[in-house]
Amino acid sequence: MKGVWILLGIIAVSVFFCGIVPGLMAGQGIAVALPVIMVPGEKVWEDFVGIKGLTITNTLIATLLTDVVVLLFAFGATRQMKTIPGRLQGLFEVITGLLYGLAKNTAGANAKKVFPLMATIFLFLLIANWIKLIPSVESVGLMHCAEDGMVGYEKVGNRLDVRKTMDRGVRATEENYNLCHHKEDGAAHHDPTEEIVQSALLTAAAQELKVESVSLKDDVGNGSSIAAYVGSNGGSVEAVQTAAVALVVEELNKAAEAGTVSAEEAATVIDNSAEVVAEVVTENYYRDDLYIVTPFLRGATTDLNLTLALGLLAFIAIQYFGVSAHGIRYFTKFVNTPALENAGKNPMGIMDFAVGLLEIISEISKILSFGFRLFGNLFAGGVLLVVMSFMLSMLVPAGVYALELFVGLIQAFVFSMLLLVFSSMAMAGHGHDESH
Amino acid sequence: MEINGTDFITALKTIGAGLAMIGVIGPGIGIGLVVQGALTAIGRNPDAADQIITNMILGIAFAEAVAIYALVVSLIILFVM
Repeated sequence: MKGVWILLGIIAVSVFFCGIVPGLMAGQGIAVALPVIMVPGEKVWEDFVGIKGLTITNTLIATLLTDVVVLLFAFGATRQMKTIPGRLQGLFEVITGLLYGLAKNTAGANAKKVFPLMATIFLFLLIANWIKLIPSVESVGLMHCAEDGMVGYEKVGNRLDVRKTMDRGVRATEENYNLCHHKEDGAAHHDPTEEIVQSALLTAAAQELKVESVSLKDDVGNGSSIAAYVGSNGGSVEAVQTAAVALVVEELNKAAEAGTVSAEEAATVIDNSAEVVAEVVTENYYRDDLYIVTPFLRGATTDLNLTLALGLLAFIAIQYFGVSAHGIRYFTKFVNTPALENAGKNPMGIMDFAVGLLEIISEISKILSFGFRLFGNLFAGGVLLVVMSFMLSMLVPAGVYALELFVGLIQAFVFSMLLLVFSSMAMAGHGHDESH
Repeated sequence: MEINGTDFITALKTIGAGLAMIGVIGPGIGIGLVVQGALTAIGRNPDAADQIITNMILGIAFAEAVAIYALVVSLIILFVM
C-alpha cells in the first residue's frame, strides 16, 4: 500500500511539473525555450585556468561527475564490507552478482578476465546515461550571446524571454553575435542620427503601407531590410524614401535644437539626407539581443568523443584478450596463412583466406558500431526530450522520460554485453581444428 | 516571402535528413522479427527465457545499429553539414 502511495505521489509531482507549471506560466513569459541542439559538446570555459587551448565542454564536466559518482558508489559499497550487507553494499552485490552470472554464462572459464572491464563500463554508462535525466542537467547554465547559426531569444533580466509556447526564437548570424558582444561590452552601438533616420524610415513605411506602425524587430525581422519589407508588402520604396527624407530633416533640426545631435553633424546629414536614407533603407537589420543558454552539464554519452573512445577501448581490449588467449596465432583469424598453406590439399583454403581479410573490416567497424550506437541512442534521446517538452509541455515528456530511463539502461547493458560476447569469441577457438 | 539561396539549401537539407530516416524501416521490421522469434521460443520453452532474452537484446542491438547509422547520417546532414 505504501508503494502505491509513493507511485501516486511521483505521478502527481511529474504531472504538476511537466504540465501545470509550464501551462500556467506561459503567459507570464515562462514557456519552454528551444535549447541549442548541437553535436559537439558545448564550450563552458575556454582557455581554462589560463591554459591556451584547454576548453572545458559541458560533456567533459558530466564525464568527470560520472567518474566521481561511480568511484563514490564503489568505495562506499566496499569500504566496510559486512557479512550481512547494508543497503548500499546489498545493491552493489546484486548488480555485480547479476553481471558476473551473465559473464559466466557467456564466457565460461574466461569470465574472470573480462568481468572487471565489462562491469566497470556497465556501471559508468548506466550512471552517465541516468545523470542526463536529472532535472536541471542540460537546462541550467550560463547565458551568453547566440553564435552564428544558433537559435537565440531576447533577454529579460537574467532569463530568456519566451512569451508564447512553441516560440522558435530567431536564428542568429555572425552580425548578431558581434552586435550582441558590443552591447555586452557596454559600447554604444547606435548613434543618435542613425536612430533618427531609422525611425523616420519606419514611420514613412507605416504611412506607405497604411498600417499603424512598423517595428524593426517584429515586422522587418532579423537579417532583412526596410526596403525588402516594404517591397514584399506591395509598397513603393521610392515613396517611402521621399517621405523619410522630409521627416529626417525635420527631426534632425529638432534634435540639433535640443542638443542631442551636434549642429555640424545635423547639417552634414541634412545636406546628404537623400544618400543617407537610401543607404539605411537597404541596410540589413540585425538584432543585438539574441541570447542562448549553455548548460553546465550535458549527458556524457551525448558526446561522440567519449563514445568513440570507449569503442576504441573495447576494440583494443578485445584484441588484447584474443592475443592473451592464443598468442600471435590469434591474428591467423585475419591473415589466414595456415589455410593458404593447405590450399594444395584443400582449394577452399583460398576462400578462407579471403574471408579472413574481410574479417579485418568487420573488426574495425566494431569501433564505429560501438561508438555510434551509444552516441546515436543517447543524443537522439536528448533531442527527443527537449523537442517533446518544447512542443507539448503536458504529460508526454514524463512518458518520454520513462522511455529514456529504459534506453539508458539498455544501452549500458548492450555495450557491456557486446564487449563480453566479442571478447569471449576472441578467446574461444577459431572455429578450425587446433590439433592438425 | 522571398526565398534566397540559404533558405533553399536549408530546405534541401531538411528533406535530405527526412529521407535518410527511411533507413529505419528495415531495422524496425528486423527488430519486430527478432522479438517475435524470441517470444515464440519463450512460449515453447519458458525455462530458457533468461538466455533467450539476453540473446534477443543482442540481436536487437545489431539490428538497431543499422537504424542508428541512418540516424547519424541525418544528424550529420542537419547539424554538421
